[in-house]
Amino acid sequence: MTLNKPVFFNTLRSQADATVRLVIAGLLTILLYSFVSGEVAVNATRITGIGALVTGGNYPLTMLLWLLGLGLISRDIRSGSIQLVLLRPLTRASYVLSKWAALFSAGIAVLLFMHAAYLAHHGVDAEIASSLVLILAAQCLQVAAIASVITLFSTVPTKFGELGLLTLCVLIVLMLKLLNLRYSVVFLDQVLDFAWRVVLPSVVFSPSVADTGRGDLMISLLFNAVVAVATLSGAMALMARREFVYAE
Amino acid sequence: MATGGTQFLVEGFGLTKTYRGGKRPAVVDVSVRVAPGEILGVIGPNGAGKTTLMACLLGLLKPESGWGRLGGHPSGSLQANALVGYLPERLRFDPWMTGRNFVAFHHALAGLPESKRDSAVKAVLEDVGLDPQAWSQAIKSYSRGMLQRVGLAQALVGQPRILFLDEPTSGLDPDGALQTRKRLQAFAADGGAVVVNSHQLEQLSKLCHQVVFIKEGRLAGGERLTNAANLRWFVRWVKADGVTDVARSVLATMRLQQGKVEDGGLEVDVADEATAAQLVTMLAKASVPVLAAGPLKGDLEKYFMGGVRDTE
Repeated sequence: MTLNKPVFFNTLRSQADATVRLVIAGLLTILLYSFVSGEVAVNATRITGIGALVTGGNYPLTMLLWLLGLGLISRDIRSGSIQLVLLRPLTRASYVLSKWAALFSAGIAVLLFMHAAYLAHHGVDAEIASSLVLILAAQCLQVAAIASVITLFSTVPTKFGELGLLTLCVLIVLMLKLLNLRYSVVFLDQVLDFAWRVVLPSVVFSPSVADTGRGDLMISLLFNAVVAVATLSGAMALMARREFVYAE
Repeated sequence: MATGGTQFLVEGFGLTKTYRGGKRPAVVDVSVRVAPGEILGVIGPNGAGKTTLMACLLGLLKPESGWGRLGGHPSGSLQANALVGYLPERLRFDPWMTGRNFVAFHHALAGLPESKRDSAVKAVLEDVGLDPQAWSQAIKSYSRGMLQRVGLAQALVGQPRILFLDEPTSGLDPDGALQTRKRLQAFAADGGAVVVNSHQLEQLSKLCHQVVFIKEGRLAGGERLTNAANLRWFVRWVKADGVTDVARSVLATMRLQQGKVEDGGLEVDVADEATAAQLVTMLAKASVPVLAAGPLKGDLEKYFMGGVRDTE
């Protein structure tokens, strides 16, 4: 299973073709920039500096990747262009990997932009230099996991598309969480938290306590690595089983 | 290129494929074989299962039973895919692509060297007769005929040994259809195998060496056109002073109609292969140089309708 360069570059080119999507992505990037270069308020708590780099980056980064990844594979399936691609000498796993890699690359570019913006405004503090490396690593895995979830959702044959599937998953988790407020089943709450973090991978970081913060980062890093591998494997398995025919 | 030691480039055996969990049979126990140098036409009414059969042979669909092999390799395998060029009935593409981008993308997907990409793409686009001004236009602005041409270029660009074409001349003007036919005949003459789905029986009759008739997913009939016992045959001989009178008397002896001028000689249609053989023998004995003899194509429609009725 290797990266297929034509599929990889063609995917990047296709992402750049959607003007509206690029404009919204630009706006999100500006939002991201303002978060990491200034300060962000989360649940009425003001987080500044390195905390903003992580907490402020979580949701804009996720939204940006979902925006760039819409139709990643499902567009090829819907249009039928996948037929011609899969009749070339490349494996389906290689096709999925190349699609994922294109999205992952776009995410990494955004991530590097975030860190450059942060460093430009805050400079490098010797105390947090090692945390910065760990944060970057954890966020790389976060991007990998988000790209994998999008890739998986893009291969699932539904009428609603991957965004519809995401909305459905999020609504189910939220409804169950609301129901559980009444019964307070601890185990169910943990399962729902787990499901939430699988569907919307994030990085958890508590900057107030340095050691705890690093522990959180390590857990996020490992958790997202598992999510990335598991969901990408799922996407490959689904694609291996799918049949593609377009009626006469 | 290796073909896995088989004498057939395309083989499908006992292919059965159903939809809706087995409720709707699309293809039932269909077997086909195409040798190098041959063109197989697949004919049948709409919804008969022609596209499904093609998809099973290509490996896009997994049949419930039976198997397909391309060049001796299992359908859908990388080795089989490396031998195949495919033109679907409706070409699908990324909207931003130009004709040149599209063919270059498939050249790259075929794993062919980048150093030869530009020249290979240019050669194949010229080969299918796509106007060079259109090469840099977005495919979404193409007419149906231009789409067919760029689609055929895409199918030919990976140096395939086997072509699968769904309605290849649909939307083409007569000149374009003739060019496509000649291109496919040249491809077959080079040792390639071609499978064509089409409703254009006249085109198929001029193009194919054999046809299979698919009806309700089943093989309703199949015939090697060059051996079809129920096709009329023609015999053509030299048109020259001194020869014509001799030939006329031979035709009179056999109670055949007189010859008509065709392709620089005189030609007569006869009922079947046996009569043609008898006529060729008698003309030879009378020292009349025979130019050609063979089955008359172009009567596929009657032949097809008869074949389908026989199964009803």
